[in-house]
Amino acid sequence: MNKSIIEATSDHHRGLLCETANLEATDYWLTADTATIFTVYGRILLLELYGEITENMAGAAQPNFAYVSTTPVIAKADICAVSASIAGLVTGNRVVWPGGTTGGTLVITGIAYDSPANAGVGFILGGVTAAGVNMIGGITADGSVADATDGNVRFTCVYAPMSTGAYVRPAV
Amino acid sequence: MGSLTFNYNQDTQDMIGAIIGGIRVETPVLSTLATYWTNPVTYAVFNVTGLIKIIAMYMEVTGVFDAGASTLVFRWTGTTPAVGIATMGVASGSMATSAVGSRWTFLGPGTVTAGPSAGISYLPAPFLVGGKTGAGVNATGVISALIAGGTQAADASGRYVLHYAAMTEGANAVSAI
Repeated sequence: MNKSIIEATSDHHRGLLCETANLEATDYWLTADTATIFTVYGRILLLELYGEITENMAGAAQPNFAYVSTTPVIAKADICAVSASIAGLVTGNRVVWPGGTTGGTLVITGIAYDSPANAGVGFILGGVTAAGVNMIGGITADGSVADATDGNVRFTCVYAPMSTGAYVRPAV
Repeated sequence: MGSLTFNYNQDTQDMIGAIIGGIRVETPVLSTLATYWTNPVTYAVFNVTGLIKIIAMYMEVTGVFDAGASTLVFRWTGTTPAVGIATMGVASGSMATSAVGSRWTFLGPGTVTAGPSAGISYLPAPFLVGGKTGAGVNATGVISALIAGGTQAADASGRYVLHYAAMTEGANAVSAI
């Protein structure tokens, strides 16, 4: 198969995919940090969400992910529970949103470039207003407990639109 | 390297959404309190032809609910062949003070449930509704909503959304409103 067929088949099987830039963990996983990494337009089915370590981590941060809506305003709510310390993660490790329920713990098991994927059911995020306009919200990367003091990470979001014109874009 | 987004046109993105998330049909936003949010009231929300797999079905809140303890349960009525009205699962708890963006989700034999919070809800387990007669003809029926328990007197509104996949030739679902 040529590359376009592989990509199209993957989109249909897995969902649409977008990635952030390669980010400094010290900008996103500070103790009291919350930063929007993906902008969500409309109603989506979230299928996969993970951060792939691209430079060894330092600092005992315990991150998680959350959803927040800006239009209309809906308070930020966690979509998983914080992981254990990421201090020992090395390049190729992933921090993986577990799906299922918001009580599921962010997964950091696995070895470099070999990790579990989302094992739970997907979440429906966002919505559509009474006027029929897609809500605008964001998926945030949140730190807790301690600051990340070194390391890089790139976040990936895989989704399917659930309202007309819904999509996700990296915010950073 | 910067961020990555595949710049598909909108039709392609919507098609991928339909392939993965199912075909989507919606009612209009329902805001007439006496017709849709009064205790008790029942109304058809989707007409079903043939057998469909419900991937997700929910009422998405578009106008905040007041303190009235309204509940929601979905019901199925077979038209052809005739099947008496039957409750699909268990009625929700009180929908009082539901915020905009909340989704009260059909969970098959379970309880219609919202949350865990506005703008965030879980994809339910799939459920099969409708069927085909012995003669090979698609059955027809109606999914209706029953509102009970309490009445909304202020600004409540919402829309019903169904994501489904056809399971028999010619099967489909459309908004009944």
